[in-house]
This record gives sequence, C-alpha cells and structure tokens, in this order.
Amino acid sequence: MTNPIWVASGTAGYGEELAKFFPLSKLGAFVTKTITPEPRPGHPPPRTAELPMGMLNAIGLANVGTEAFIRDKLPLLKASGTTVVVNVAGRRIDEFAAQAEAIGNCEGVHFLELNLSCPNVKEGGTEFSADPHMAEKTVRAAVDKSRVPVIAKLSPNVADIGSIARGAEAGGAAALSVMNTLVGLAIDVWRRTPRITFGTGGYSGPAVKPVALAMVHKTYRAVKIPVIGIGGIATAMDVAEFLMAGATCVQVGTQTFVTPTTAATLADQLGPFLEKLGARSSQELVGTLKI
Amino acid sequence: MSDLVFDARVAAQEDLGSDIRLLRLSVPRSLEGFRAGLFLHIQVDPGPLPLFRRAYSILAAHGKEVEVLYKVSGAGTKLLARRAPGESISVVGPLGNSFTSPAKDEVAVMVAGGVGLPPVLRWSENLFEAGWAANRQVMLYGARDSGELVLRDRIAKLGVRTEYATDDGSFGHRGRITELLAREHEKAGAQGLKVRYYACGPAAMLASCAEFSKNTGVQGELALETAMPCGTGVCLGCIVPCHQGDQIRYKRTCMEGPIFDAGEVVWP
Repeated sequence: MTNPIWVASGTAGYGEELAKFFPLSKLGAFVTKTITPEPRPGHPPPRTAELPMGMLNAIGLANVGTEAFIRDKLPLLKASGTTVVVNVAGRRIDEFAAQAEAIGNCEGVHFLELNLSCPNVKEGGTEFSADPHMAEKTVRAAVDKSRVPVIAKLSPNVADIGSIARGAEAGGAAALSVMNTLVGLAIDVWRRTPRITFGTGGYSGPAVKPVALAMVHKTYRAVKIPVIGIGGIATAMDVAEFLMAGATCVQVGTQTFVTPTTAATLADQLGPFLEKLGARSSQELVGTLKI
Repeated sequence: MSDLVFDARVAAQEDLGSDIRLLRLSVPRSLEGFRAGLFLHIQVDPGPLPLFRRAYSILAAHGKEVEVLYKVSGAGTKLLARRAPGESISVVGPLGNSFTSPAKDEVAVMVAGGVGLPPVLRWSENLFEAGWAANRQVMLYGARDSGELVLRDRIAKLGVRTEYATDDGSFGHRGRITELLAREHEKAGAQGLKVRYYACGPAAMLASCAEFSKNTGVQGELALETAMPCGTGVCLGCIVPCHQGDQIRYKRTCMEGPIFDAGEVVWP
C-alpha cells in the first residue's frame, strides 16, 4: 500500500527535528516549511496562542531562505529516503517562478508545493489564491520553470474554493493541498490587544477539521487532479474521513506539535483501520462519501 | 518507535504546601545521570483539552522514576494536579540543552527562584558528579515567603553553603535574590575569583539577573520558560529574541534553550 500520510508545511520544520523521533522514510512524503527567496526572521513573539481544540499562529514565514535551504537543509532530506516536497512562496508571481526554478530543479526534490495562501505576512499572500486567474497565472509561472510536479496549496479564506481550484488546475498544478489555516483572531481582554503580535493568525487543529473536510469535498468535485487533505487530522479515522471526502493523500499538521511521532504512528495504524472498513487500500476509499 | 515518546505512570503527587507539588513518575527507562536543564513535555490531561503539552524541568531521576516540581497556577497545572497515582501520562523527552561548566577561577553560584529550583539544584549535583569542590559552589534560593522555599532538606544534603531570601523576610534575607548574588560577586572578588551563576525562576528575577550581568560583566546562564506548543523545534512558537552581534536573532527555547547566556537575551 502506498502510504498516504504526509506531514504539513510549517509543522515539521526541515526534517532534522523530526528525524530524531522516527525515520522520515515512514512518511508518504515530507513537506518542508515555506522557503522564500531571502531568509526571513519571522514575527516577534508571541506568535502562537493555544485555544480550545486549536491554535492560532502567525509565525511570519520564518525560514532560512533558498540558498541556505539548498545548502544546509536539503541534503538531510535527500538522504532520508522520503519523498521530498518543498513548499515555496514569493511576494510576486516572478518570485514564485524564481523559487520554482531554483528549487524545482534540485536533485532530491520530488514535488514543489506553492504556498498561495499564507495569511500571516504583511505583504499579503492570499491574493495568489483569492482569484482564479491569479492562481492560474502563479501556478503556470512555477510549472514552466520547475522540473518536478507542482502542487498548489489553497486557502479556505475565499468565497468559492472550487473556482480557485479550477484556476490552479488550468495553470498546470499536479495536485491541490486543501487547506491552509483559517484566518482567526484571539483577544486578551485585560490588555484589549490581540493575543499574538501580528494581530490575526491562522487557526488550525482539531477544531478546523469539519471546515477542511467540506473544503476538500468541494475541491474534489471541482477538479480532476488529486486533492491532498489537511486540517485537524489526529487519528486513523480522521484520515479515512478525508479519503472519503475526496483526498488522495493527507497531511498531518498541528497534531505533530502535540506528539512528534503522530504521522508515523498513523502510517502504522491506517492499514488495520482500512481493513475494518473493508478496504484493501487507501485509494479504494477516495471520494466514496455517499452524498 | 522513539524512546523519546513514552507513557509514564503517576507514582506519587506530593503536596509540598503553597500550592507546590512534587510529581513522581514511573518511566520505562532510567534517566539517571541526566544533565540539568533537560525537560519533559507532559500531557497534563489525556484530553481533548488542553491541546498542547506543558514543559517541566526534571528535578531528579532515580532508577525508573523521575520527579518534576510545579506550582498549581494556570489551567494546565490545575489539570496536572488532578492526576492520581496509577494514571498513565504521555511524555515526550527529555528535551533541551544544559548549563556550561564553570572555569577554574570561578565560583559556581546557583540562583533559584520559587519552583525554578529543579535545574539549579540538579546542576549543583552535576558539578559534584564532575568533581567540582563544594567550597566553590553557593546556592541562593529565594521565594515570596518561607512556605514557598520547598525541598530545603534536599538542598541541605548537597553540602553547599546556602543563602535564602524571601520577599516578606519570613526566612533568610528580606529582599531580592539578586542582592545576594551581588554579595557573592563581592566575596569572590575579594578572593581573586569570579562568579558564574546559573539561574532559574520567575521572568522578573531572570531579567534582574541579566541586568546585574550587564552592569558588572558577571557571566551567568538563565533557564527560561516560555509557552511551548511543540517542544521539538518545529512550531517556532517558543522563540526568544537574542542579541547576535548588532542583530537580533530569534532562538527556540526548546532547541537552542531552555538555557541561554544572560547577556544574549533581549528583555522587553
């Protein structure tokens, strides 16, 4: 059985951190945190707020930048034997293209994932997935420069994710990751300020799972390319829900913060759980939701 | 999978007074000989709330038991206090870095504030294990009042000169622990020695230790506490702004810490 369990961008570092806990080859794929052309320090603390059944974060795309990533971080991922997905972002379409050229042609990289939808940077970011034409143009610019297939990661913070999905598909995306975090706000009533420095942040964790399932299902019905489900996955049953909603693979995100071995454990647990459902492989469940 | 992720069992919850508890856990493998500063990331309740674990510095490890110290204050510690002997608790760890050894011409001064005692007490033991002489160590331990100065019997067993401080003067010196630190700096200076201190306690105490270092040039190391969603270096939530040359760089409390040089931390 092909393992459909991946780890999500921004929740698994560069691989070196989780490699202390399990061999990365246990994953269906490893998705790096977002790599931008230049290094970014990220936002000042506090960057995260723990909420009931979820968390709010605005890290600010802190990362080492493309050059240091290729030099210092990629070799470990390459050697790990896992499928390597590098998540990239730029401030403009030409920067997405430059990222695709710089990283999408590196040996040891199997896929690019475009962060079309980070809600947590001042320069915006969501505009790349707020409009179908913009999504199409951005994806095409990356696809044209990249040797490896390009996945587009979509935002739920849009009116119609189906139209954005079709735009990304038209631009040549090989698959769609659904979804990025929901824009949220947490308030410290004593100070009358947001609980995180940036103000709003991305809401993730078990609380967002129903929203993610709806987004995955809507996207699945809108496009022909595979959908990768993300949002609040913590158990094998959660994985099965996403598969039924139309996801071909899933990414474990916030739950890796709770327990670093979650994705590896789910990879072990999924087979026996699929058997209980009478399925021989995860692919048999994809899109089988009766609705 | 990894022996850094395991289920422990509550062996005992000892009430030390002043809402301070000593939690003893039975663990699958011995952590004896551990270095001061290492912490366990503990699921305070089987869930679903709170979502994230809480970090506790390891106080002691004997055989297949470990101890942590905590004060019942927030939502997490209130849940932890309810865990009864025999219950299973999920643990990730040990995680984090440790203190650095003092130099030959230095006096090692331990500075503990309240439930910040564990890494400091353990570091004193580590120094003994490494052959460091008792007369080149001093323990300073401060709290709001005498009730919060817990585990004094264990500190006495170290055989190190110990000075206490309380805010209300109910035990030892009345006033701030940094005043005691300044005295040790003078004493060491009179003997031609330097102080290197190792501190853990409330943020205000650590900030005043850092201020002392800035004013005197005395070297010190601080064990910090921050909200720490993951503890494993991946969430980038527990960052501390640190000086690096002319620049400020964010370091992760869980990976580059929890112990930082007193001079590097940028205080708000």
